[in-house]
Amino acid sequence: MNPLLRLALLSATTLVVFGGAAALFASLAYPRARARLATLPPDARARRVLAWAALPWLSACALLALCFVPSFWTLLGLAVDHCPVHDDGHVHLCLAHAPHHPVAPVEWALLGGGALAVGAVALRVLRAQIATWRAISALLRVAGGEVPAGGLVASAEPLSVTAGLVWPLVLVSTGLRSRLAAPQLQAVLAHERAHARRRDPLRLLAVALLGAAHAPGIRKLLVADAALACEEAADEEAAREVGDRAVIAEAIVAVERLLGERAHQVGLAVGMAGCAAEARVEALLQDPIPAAPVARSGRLLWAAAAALALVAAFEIHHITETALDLIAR
Amino acid sequence: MSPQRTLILGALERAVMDHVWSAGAQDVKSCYRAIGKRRGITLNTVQSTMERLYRKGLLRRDKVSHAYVYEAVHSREGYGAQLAREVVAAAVGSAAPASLLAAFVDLAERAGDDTLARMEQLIAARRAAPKGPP
Repeated sequence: MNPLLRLALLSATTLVVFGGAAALFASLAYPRARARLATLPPDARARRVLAWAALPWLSACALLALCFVPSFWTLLGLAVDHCPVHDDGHVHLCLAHAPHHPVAPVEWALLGGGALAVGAVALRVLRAQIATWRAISALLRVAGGEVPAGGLVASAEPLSVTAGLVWPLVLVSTGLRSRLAAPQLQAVLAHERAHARRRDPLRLLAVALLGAAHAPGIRKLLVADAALACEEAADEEAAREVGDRAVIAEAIVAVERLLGERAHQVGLAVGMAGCAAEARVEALLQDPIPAAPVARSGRLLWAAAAALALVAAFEIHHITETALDLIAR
Repeated sequence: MSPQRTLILGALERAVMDHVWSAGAQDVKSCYRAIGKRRGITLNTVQSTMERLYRKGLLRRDKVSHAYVYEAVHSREGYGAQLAREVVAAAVGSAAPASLLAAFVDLAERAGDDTLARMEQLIAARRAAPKGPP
């Protein structure tokens, strides 16, 4: 096998191992971290949830990069080549000495299992988006331009959505417009414009795709938490624009009632306990959570962690090579 | 055939529907004269497009003399209503979250009447509460 291709496969195996370990850590830590996340303002919470979703990917890439630091120093002539001290059969995760072992069955199993697990979820997410986008794009083609940065759809369905990734558009139905009081309609439009400004559909898609590396239960929590945080962040922006928090809450209840009527008509399940609307209304009836100032100590902590990681790069490299040696033999 | 396949239109299908909605019942030749020549497409292409729209249930047709005359089954508004229902169905019925859209309230879960009544009470209490100092 081409040494570069072998190195790429070994790197991919390393990513699977590190990503799996990080996903395992998230399975244990995220349910506890949620309590702390709940105390954050919605916008900060949305960003943190995205970071949790990206944790297996980011930590796996960061650790893999650290594994290559020793050989990078060697290539630059800044460190002594340590590879010759290993015995000949040792697996090298090294830019200077590409691995030459055949791919072991365990390695194939890890690569295949990782690709299948992540690919199946990603495929399901992408298929759902394609189906949604087909429906949305057809609706956009018949929408009138009476809504700023969006369209008005001639339909009795009480619909109000923000759709699209890079330049999201707001779609509101005539059914919703005609059945809401003017301040409530203003609240709905302000909320949807906030989603468009914040590019929330893109954030939610990122969480859904990045969440593919997590265990199913954690993935579900991440997606639900990200959706609620984005809704609450849009509520907060709308409340600032409209100048009345209670009117946003009233609009949520009014739209829930309209959708509830339609749900009864088409036979959808109604009455789920602890739904997102309830949490949003309760949040709106309280004072907004003040944004915490960016702590200097936090930045210093991150800088110290990065420095420590660089110092520990040689140890990380050795531990990883030893683990890969066990896997690849 | 899924509802999406039935209702979502391609560019030419959309042009034909727009023409039928604005001009009323049409045979293939008049539709071709209105939109086909401008687009540089053949009469056969327009004919097969109208045939497809008929099979999709968006056009109905009657034979007048030797030619079919096509007419829209739904009004433009009725078509919009069906598409809106499809958006809801896509959001509610998919196996994965429909992240491409953010709805004002979650389309997939409904608060029950008791919950809504409790929320209304909370809002009314908030409205009735004396406002604190700014």
